[in-house]
Amino acid sequence: MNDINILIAKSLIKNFGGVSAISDVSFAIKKGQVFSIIGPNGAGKTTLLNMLTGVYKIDSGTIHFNGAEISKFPPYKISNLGINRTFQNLQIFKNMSVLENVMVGCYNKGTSGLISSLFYLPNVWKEEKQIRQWAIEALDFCGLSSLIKKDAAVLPYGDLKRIEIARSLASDPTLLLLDEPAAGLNDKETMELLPLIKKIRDTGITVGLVEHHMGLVMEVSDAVLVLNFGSKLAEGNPLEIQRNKDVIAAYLGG
Amino acid sequence: MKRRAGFFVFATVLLILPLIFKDSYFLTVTGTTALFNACLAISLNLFMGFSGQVSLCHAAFYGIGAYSNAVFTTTYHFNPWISTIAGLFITGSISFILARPILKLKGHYLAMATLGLGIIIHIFFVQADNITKGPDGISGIPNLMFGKINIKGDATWYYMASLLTIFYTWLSLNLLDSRTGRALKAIHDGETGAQVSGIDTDKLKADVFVLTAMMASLAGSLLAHKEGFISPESFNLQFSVELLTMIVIGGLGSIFGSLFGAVFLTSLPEFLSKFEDFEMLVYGLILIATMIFMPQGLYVGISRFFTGILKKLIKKDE
Ligand SMILES: Nc1ncnc2c1ncn2[C@@H]1O[C@H](COP(=O)(O)OP(=O)(O)OP(=O)(O)O)[C@@H](O)[C@H]1O
Ligand SMILES: [Mg+2]
Repeated sequence: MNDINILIAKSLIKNFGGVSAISDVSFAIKKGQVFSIIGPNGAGKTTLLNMLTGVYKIDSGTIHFNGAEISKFPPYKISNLGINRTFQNLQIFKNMSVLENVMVGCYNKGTSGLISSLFYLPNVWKEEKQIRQWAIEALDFCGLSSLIKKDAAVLPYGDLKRIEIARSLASDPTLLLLDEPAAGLNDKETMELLPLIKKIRDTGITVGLVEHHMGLVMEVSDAVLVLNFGSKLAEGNPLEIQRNKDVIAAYLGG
Repeated sequence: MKRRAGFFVFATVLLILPLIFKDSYFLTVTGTTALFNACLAISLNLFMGFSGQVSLCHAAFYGIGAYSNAVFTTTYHFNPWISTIAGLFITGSISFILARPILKLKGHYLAMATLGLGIIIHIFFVQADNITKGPDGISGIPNLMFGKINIKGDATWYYMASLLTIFYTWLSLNLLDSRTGRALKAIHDGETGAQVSGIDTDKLKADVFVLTAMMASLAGSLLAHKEGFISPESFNLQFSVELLTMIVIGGLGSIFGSLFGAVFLTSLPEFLSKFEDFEMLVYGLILIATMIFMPQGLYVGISRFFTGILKKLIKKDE
């Protein structure tokens, strides 16, 4: 395991009106790790992911990714730099097939623009084949080959969650952020998630995991950050977190 | 590939129709108008149906193309094709400058902003009479020429309109099967999801706004030569609303639906002439009925209905 920090967040702050959703949170994610963010409901986990991916503008603080400051970048630029994510509440493209959804994930790897697409120039045709291939591979990787031709709109929640993972992977991210991938999954699906996350990590992708399922978090994480009411409560390896009195109190009391 | 097969059938049918219905007034006059409207509907649908935006100024861009050719060929005696390019340039510039600020808005606000823009451009057509000759319009627009060939007569214009429609259909089908087309559909389904997938949604929306405005402008440029005379009322708000009705009736997001909607709504008055003053009322009723009973559009609704029946029949056979 190497010790390079792929992402460094310093003194992040985000307020919504009077609500302090994230207050002065700093942390670093090491390359190749599975870095988990846990905390009770409303602790600010999703808000933090939204800040890292540019979906929310941060009020103050800095975020460095691979050495470059991305604090003020719009989401598409951050995505193109190699951070991709899934959503707690799903952001599936409902009017598309499963394959098309994942093909959108390959957007950053393509180059053809509006004009060449209109005339379907040879490069578009070639790129289309390549993108299709990448998307099929990403679906395969997530064990979703059987759903390729299905319309996204008709599929159950558990499938959609994994399709979002496939879509994110299709972009070849260096950092993949998963917002509660196990929420709403049945036991069998949750069991399948664990090897999938390990497999993703083994391909060299750094994983940021927001999750309530403690069994999963403790099993797969290299480092854990605990948030409570928008502040950092604790940070450490799974064993340290499990023994931390503040964490135990927050979970039992919260 | 299924789409391509449908496209070839459609193109062939469009081109051989005049051979079947020889000297048909309905086909070459109403049909040509319907095809011009189809071009506008197809382009508007790229912006609205596929990208999920709203525009109530499409008729105004159509008007800029038409006025550009009318003014440049009559007042300045430019070549029609040069005038067409000038029209594209003017439309492109206006839409490009306004795209970003306007497209920051969403939903109702976007509708209001484009409505305002459409009205302003229309007022220009009416008021700037030293350029546009005001409400009386511009007459004496020369014929279009391909080298030495004169484009005139209903039948010739039917073919011109058909070719433009086929061209626009082809462009749209190409676009939708590409990286950029998928990005547009993604914007429609959820901008956050699209952005996080690396799509610069602000830029792409602006690009498509400019593209579809220029498609309308090109159609307008040709229209000026077909008619020989244009006046502001062909490019007013009411016409923008009619275009919107066409794509809603045909089915937002369906290219052939837009064609269907344009042909349907353009030929309707021929059948509804009995209703005279109530024409707009009947339009409205059709729109409301479509929204209630077939919210996905008449074309899409009807074709689903028939494929449903077909599937049932096939199942029975098995
Ligand atoms: N867009 C927003 N506008 C206003 N308040 C918000 C917004 N997003 C989050 N919040 C508030 O910020 C706080 C943190 O919310 P967040 O969704 O980040 O929590 P979370 O840790 O992801 O919770 P959960 O486990 O339930 O998903 C909450 O009080 C929430 O109400
Ligand atoms: Mg959350």
